[in-house]
Amino acid sequence: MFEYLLKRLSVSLLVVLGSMTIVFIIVNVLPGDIAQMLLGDTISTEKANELSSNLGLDRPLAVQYWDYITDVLQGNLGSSYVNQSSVQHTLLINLPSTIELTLTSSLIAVIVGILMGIAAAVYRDSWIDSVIRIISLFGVCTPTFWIGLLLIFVFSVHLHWFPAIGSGGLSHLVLPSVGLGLSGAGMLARLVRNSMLEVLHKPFVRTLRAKGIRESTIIFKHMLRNAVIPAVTMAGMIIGEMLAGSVVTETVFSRQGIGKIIVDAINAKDIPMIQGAVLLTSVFYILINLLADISYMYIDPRIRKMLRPSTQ
Amino acid sequence: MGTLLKLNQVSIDFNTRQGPLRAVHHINLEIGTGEIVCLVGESGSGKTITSLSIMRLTDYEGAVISSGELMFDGHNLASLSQKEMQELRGKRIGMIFQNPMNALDPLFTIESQLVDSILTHRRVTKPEARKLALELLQKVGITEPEMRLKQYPFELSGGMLQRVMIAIALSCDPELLIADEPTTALDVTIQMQILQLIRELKDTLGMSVLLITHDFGVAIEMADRIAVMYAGAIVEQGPARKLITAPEHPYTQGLIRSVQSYHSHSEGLYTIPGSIPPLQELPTGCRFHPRCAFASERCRQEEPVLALTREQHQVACWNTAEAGQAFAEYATHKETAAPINNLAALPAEDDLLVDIQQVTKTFPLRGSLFRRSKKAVHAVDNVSLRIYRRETLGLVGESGCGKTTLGRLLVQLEKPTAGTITFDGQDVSSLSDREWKELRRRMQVVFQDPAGSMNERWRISEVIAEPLHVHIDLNEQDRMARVKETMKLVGLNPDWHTKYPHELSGGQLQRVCIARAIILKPSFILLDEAVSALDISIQSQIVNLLKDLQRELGLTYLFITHGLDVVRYISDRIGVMYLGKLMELAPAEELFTRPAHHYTRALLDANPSMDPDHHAQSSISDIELPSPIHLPTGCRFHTRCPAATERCRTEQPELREIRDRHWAACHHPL
Amino acid sequence: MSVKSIATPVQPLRIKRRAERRFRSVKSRHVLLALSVSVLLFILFSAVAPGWMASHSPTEMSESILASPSAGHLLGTDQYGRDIYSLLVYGSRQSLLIGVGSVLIGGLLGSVLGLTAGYRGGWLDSLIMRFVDMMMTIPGILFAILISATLGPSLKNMILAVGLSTFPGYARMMRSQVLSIKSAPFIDAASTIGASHFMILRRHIVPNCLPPLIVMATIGTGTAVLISTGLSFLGLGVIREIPDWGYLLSLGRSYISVAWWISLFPGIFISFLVISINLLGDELRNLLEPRSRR
Repeated sequence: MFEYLLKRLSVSLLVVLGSMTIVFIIVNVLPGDIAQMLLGDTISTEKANELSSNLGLDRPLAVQYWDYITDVLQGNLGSSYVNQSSVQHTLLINLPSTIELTLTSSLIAVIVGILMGIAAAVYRDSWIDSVIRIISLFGVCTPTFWIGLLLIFVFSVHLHWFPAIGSGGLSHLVLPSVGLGLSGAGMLARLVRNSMLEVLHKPFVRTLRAKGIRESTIIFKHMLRNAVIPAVTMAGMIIGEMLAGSVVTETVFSRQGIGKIIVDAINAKDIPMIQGAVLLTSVFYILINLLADISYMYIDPRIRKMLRPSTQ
Repeated sequence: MGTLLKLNQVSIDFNTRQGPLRAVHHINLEIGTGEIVCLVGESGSGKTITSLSIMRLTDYEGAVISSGELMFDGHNLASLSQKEMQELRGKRIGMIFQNPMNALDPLFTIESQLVDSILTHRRVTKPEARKLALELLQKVGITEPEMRLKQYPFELSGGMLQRVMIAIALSCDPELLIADEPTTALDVTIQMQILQLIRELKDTLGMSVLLITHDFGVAIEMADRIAVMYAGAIVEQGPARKLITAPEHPYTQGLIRSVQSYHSHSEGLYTIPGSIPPLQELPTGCRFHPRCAFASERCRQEEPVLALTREQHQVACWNTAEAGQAFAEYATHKETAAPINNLAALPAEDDLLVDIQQVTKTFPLRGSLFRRSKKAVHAVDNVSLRIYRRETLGLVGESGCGKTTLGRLLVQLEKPTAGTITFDGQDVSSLSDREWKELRRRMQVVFQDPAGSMNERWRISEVIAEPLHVHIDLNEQDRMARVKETMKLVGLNPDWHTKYPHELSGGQLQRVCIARAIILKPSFILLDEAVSALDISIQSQIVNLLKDLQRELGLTYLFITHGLDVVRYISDRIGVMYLGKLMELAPAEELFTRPAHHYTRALLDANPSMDPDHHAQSSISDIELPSPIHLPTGCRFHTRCPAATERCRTEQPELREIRDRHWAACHHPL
Repeated sequence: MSVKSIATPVQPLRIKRRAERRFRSVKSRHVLLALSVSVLLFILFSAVAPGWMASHSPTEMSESILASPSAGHLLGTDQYGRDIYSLLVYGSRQSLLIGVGSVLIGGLLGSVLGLTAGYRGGWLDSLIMRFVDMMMTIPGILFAILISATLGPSLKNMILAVGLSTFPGYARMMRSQVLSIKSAPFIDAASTIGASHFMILRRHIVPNCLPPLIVMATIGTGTAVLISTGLSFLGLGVIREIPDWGYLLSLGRSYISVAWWISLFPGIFISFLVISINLLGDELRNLLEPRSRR
């Protein structure tokens, strides 16, 4: 068990290193002259070269890469092109707000998604199923920023229930979380419905019925637990998507957070800031998936057993 | 003896998109208190759905009891609500299913699944339920029950899981136990143990048993009464012994004759022509008439109903008189048939085709990141075997014995870890790609699952022509001609070449596979469980086809199977494998009449026979098969062998010739 | 012996009704399919010949600024007085181009990698899949943001960004598909016949991998549209005279309290396109992979 954790953790570290490399490659190797882009087309080449050397962009790639990796591993994400402020500092200030949004929207996604999935599977081919399938189809197929706008229009502009924009207390969190959570809920509901239906045809369900176990016990104790196993990995990915989706949602609601920083950085062509924000997000993404993997063990004894050093 | 369960004119329909589809038609069946009734039938006979209907589990399978009543102790089960049924299920009626490996929830311990069942129906506290669970496991003969309680289903073997299933079914002392093919997924030695257990428990608890099976041998072994189902109807039922010795329905007769002909030495097995009709295309009148030798005009028009012909014996047939007489003639004739002297008839052992020398195959287990695992599965361990031209070498053994791996090594689907394989004088491992491709033309394979072994998106003609594409440059016309000619040779209608695999039945698909295997005129065919998945009436047709083809084309077969009757009939010589080792090798009749190895003996003893006077038995201890990862020292079989000595525990016996052409690897041969 | 068949009214009514419902849902499935095909056709026509489909020129600025939907302006006008409906019609081409183009890039790259990894196995498999795993760790939209931000805004870059951000999914799907087909008995049968690797790939594995790939690519087109509109919304889109759907939405955001139609209708266009694509994909799945569950 401990060995497994260690192993998973080391793999995750490798993956983080890998995604750092990918981010580096995209930013530095793909065609596109950063200095030129920063200054616009009107500026002379000399000016651009000067800026390049100021930013250290004219050094050999390998050197840049090495510096970048060692810097990041020391917790230094560089400084902003725009105002020379420290990237990690800016990000850390804004991180809590994004985490808050991700957590609340993930909570909504997981709870609503699983409940809808169960209901759709239990009442399959009924109107309940149809309604849930339509809702989840909309959730999956509708841009989150548009849902956000609709929510603003209905609940703030018209009903004045919640504030439309800005960050702050719980009331500011409701609309963004719902808007973001809905798409995740849609994805999860579809997955849970499918895996519930798959479990429904497993022979052990027939055994449980033959034992005279109550149908509700069969559904909630046995089927759900079996159906949730594939959903756990998916939930990990969906929470990751929430994290990424918060970029857009924060923009819609003018919320403070990593997303807003990314958008501002995009407009200012502030590459180190974008790079840092993407890296931070993917580290969280990896962490979430690690947690999903670990929670597997608590649900599935087969995996637990595989990991236990053999006793027999 | 009172009647416990009575099915009265029960019909069951499947709900399909095209409307209701009749799966079971007007069946009558009675089970008395303390009686074992066997429902025997081939696939599609409706036996399983009948068993599910008693528990009203049909409601969950998209089926409906559309008419009739199921009287159980004064209640009509067909009219109870699901809630009322819940009270009965598990409490008064217990049920066990075909594949114990997936019949238990994989995420809960054995204990929790047993305790749940007890707590649902009995007013006991949780600690009491735990105690009861332990007692139950002891009662069904599970070793180390305390440990097993804490384990999960995937940690137990199939045989043990079926015992657990029985324990669950018996947890509330039911009056009726329904067992749906309880041993089909298990090895023959384990099967016998499970059947014995069911019989013992029935006697001690005084319950009734409804046993569903496709295997007449199992039915004869167990049943007080037998009911035979065909295509959704019961065609004959009556006391077991009389039903076997004097069957009156032509279908029952046909089945019994096909099974018995495996033990005769006649040329060709007895077969029932045709195939089982799908439910959508049931014939008019008697549903068996298209395959029946006695069919008359009346049979085509009018459906026969079950009628009493002798005491307690009912048959649904218009021509029982003729049929009965024909069977009586067969029975007297059978007894006078003389066994062939098998040794003399063996092919000469001078023309060596395949020479397997000291072949070993191990599959390493994956270790973890930090520790390289030294453990490995020893699938085949130092096996030497020769196959002579034009002979059929049978290879039998239980699951995990390595027989399939040996076959795959031979046709190079796997590479051996050690040892050499020579085919027709050429060492196959030393061949270049081109030489190897040439050799492929001469060795072909037929697998167990005919549907899986063809690309389902291809037409039959494309499937059969695949070897031609690979090896011979033919124009479309010549190729089609070859395909059609081969289809005729294997008994397929050549006009079917445009069909897709899903349009054919299992038996027909296996003919397609055989056609593909012989189209290049090979000299050797590996038959890997090639007939094991087929129904008995289809199986004998395919076995006959294989025999005919062998004669006509001069083929050599390696016939791998777990079915003892088939291998005895088709093989010239038979090898017996156990945990990767070849234990015994002898001419077929010699092996069956005078087995030398204790394992062979145990296998034969456990094989249910068609003889109602002869009971199969388990002559080995109840210990489970050791895992191929942790092999026993010395003789692999010593842990289960009744004659094991200290020497067997330490010294591995070598294969040696103990009689003329009879080899065995045993320190103390029989 | 003959007992009259007593048709005891058993209680399977619930199940019978369920069967009827299933039958009805087959019918409603056809209606849905027809609807989604018409939506797709509409958008396809708009993309090919926007001049025919639009009611106004997209650059025409009318007097009525921020006019609500009316007969003159079916879906209203924006802050410059441009006709929203016509803007949306003219925006279809870009959405479709990005959707289809990025799926071509992502699908092709992903399936070639997945096919190679699955069939070859061994170290190459590990190498490819570790690479794919790493790509997977950066959520799609962020990946696309990063690429568009470094490459600069253009249609080509947008397609590349969305395509590259989606290829890992195709690679994983293809690999697992190949692995499951590779273990099927008919592949064993083909190799014992003597078929070469190339033949097995061409005649067995690729044809059997195509149906799920087609389904995934269809649905992937919808996902690509979603990602690309998201990028435009954030201001990473192609800057042209005629705003694309995502950009139009972001413009509408500022006027949400006075002119809801600017944000509502682009969203409806996007959702309907993506939903239609999804439904078509589901239908294709039923058609091409009859054995997979509904």
